[in-house]
Amino acid sequence: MTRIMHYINQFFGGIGGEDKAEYPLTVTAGTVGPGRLLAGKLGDAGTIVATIVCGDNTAQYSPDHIKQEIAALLEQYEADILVAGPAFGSGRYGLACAEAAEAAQMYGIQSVVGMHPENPGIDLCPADVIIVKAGESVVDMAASMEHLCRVLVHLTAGRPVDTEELTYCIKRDIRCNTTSRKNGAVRAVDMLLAKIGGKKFESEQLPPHFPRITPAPPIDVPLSKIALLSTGGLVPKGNPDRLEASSATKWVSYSIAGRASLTPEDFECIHGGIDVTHINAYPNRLIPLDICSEFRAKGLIGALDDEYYVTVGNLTPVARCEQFAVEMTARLKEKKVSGVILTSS
Amino acid sequence: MNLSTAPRVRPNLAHRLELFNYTVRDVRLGEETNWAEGVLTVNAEALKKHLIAEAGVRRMGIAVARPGESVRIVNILDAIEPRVKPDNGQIFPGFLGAMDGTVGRGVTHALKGCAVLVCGSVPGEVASQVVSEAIVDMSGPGARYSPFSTTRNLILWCDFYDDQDPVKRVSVARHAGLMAARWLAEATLDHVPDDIRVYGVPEKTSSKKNGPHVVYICPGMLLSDLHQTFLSGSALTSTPSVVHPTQLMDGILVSGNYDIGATRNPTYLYQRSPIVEVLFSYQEKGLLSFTGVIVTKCLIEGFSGKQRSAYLAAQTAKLLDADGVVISIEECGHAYADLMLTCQACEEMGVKSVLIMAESAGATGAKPGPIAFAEAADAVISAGNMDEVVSLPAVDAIYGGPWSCGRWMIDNMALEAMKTPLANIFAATSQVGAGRLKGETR
Repeated sequence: MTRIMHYINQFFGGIGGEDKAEYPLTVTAGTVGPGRLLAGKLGDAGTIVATIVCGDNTAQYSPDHIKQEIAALLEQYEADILVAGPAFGSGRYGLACAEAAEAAQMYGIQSVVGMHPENPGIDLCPADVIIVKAGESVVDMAASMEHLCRVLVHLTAGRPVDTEELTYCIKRDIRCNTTSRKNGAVRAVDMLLAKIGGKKFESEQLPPHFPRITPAPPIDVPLSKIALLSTGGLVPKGNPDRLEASSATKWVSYSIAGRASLTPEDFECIHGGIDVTHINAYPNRLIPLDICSEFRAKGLIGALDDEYYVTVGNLTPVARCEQFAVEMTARLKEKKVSGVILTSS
Repeated sequence: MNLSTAPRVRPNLAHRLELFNYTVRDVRLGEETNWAEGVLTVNAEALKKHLIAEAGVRRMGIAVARPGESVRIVNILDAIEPRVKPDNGQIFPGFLGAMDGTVGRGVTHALKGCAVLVCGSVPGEVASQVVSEAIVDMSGPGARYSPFSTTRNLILWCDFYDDQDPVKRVSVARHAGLMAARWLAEATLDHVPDDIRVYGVPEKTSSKKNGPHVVYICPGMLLSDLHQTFLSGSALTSTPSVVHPTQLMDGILVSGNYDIGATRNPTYLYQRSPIVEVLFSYQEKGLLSFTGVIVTKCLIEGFSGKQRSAYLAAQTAKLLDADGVVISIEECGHAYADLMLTCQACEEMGVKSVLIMAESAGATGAKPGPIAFAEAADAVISAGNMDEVVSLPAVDAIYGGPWSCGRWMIDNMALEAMKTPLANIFAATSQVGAGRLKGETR
């Protein structure tokens, strides 16, 4: 019988909520929490040999380490398939499921994860992961599990997922490499001759779709608290939090309380995709604290937040940036910030 | 010289070049340097002596790598096909000789199937001074990606004088590579070639009876001293230049770009440009007339500069009577803005265009496409996703000098199995059409 490993977070593992998000990775033989429902539906089609429970923060803090641990457990339990989630609409749980799927890819087995179509974890899943649509929250557990089970039954029987089951899955819309019979030059000239001759041809690349952002309603700046944000990688000299020069895994914030300007003695730019000379000579060129302090003194800005918020945009996946934005916004709202100046590199 | 083997020459070709191909099926190190029956034997000591004396190299390692061997070549700066011109003709003008009327005309000898891979460790200190990693695996799954896993390679690993800054180091390595290429090809001077190919653009004619007129727009780059392309020895400007396709074969374009390994265009792929090759072969079949190459620059600063170059290039294509253009590109990022503007300008002037571009879709293939995409760009060839991560097995031997990689971090030692994005594999997602890799949506 097909051996299934199930990955869930601390909440579904019955450990606790947000306060237990640091819960370490643990493994239990057999089913835990939602795994029982899945096992009931699966019947003889497969058996859940073990369940991994891991806190969502733990999964984020040391992703490489966690992936290695999961891969080792897959080997130990001789798993054939990894099932992760359903994570529903929970962003951090979704990212953790994507991480578990990556571990399965490392170990060389198929993984199936459950996520809501808007979960940012989708974009971090390796290309060959099957993502089954789940509802937005746990109230959709029964239906989500039913769909997950139908896909699993196909896989455990060694059949490819068919069209009906595919309707339960999220179309990845991702780019995969393939090998063509002809090289790029031949394909280009053939396509050109077809185009000149008015014949049919098919472009190999189409314009990208970027999501449209609806702007927030206007604010009255002299009455508002403003914060400074940047994706340009300005950090205190020495980069105390080791913010990455590219493919950032975190955002950080630094105090500017009592400062009217950012000095080259105290700050430096660690962005890896630009010439940082001009920023290092005068860091306010990246994060305009000098002019904002001046405006605040003149009453043109109501108040300035006492820290600035920063990450590095260079090669950082969009999904991770979206997650940073959600976390930063929560913090800004807590601090009653109503407007931000966001600078890029 | 026995020319009786030469095929009949089309009378209507202008700027005609006869390419004498001396096929190389094996490269060996030996006592004397010569070419005989498909075997190139190289006296490594003599070559070393020559390059140390003439190119300013401090020390040099020389090795041979053949397809199928368990070999990994690292720190690659450029690839060059060995070529020489008899009778005082100029090869690699601006570097090894002057630009004159022989460039792209007359006879050129080529060691076909052989490449000189120039390697050297060039650590950089700031972002604009970075030399990125470029590797070639001669066997295993990695071999599928680089065109240089199928050539018989002579690897020159340069060691530099300690006080040489990165710019001086790459310039020394560049000279050494070009000199070695000419020196090796000199071994063919008294020999009869395996094959003679005749190339040239048609004599001026407005007739379209030989198919539509096609122009190749070939952007090189100039971003910094370590990221540039040379046109007869000089840095490119953002004003387009027209060259004969046969001049590419004589090394009028030389790579001085050491950025991302997968998307940089090495000298070899100008000399044996896949696009030029297809256009000439289709011309021979009567499918089209190849009327010229326009060399432009990408990664131009500022929008107005990009626009100026794009419209100048399109207008030049129109003057060359082009019905259509193939536009390649070098590197990525805002180079795609140059590419798209050139496409748009061509289409506005009624010149049909096809573009070749690599993709940077992220390791999972989910990242949105390029930063710029013109509405007019309805015919785009994909050279594959350079962010795809591939696993390379352990190898028996490694050539190319001390393992130091630039911007793309590889944690493992080079000899061991490693995971790397395709970006680190030399010419893996070639935007001059050398590879068969392509991206598709799933």
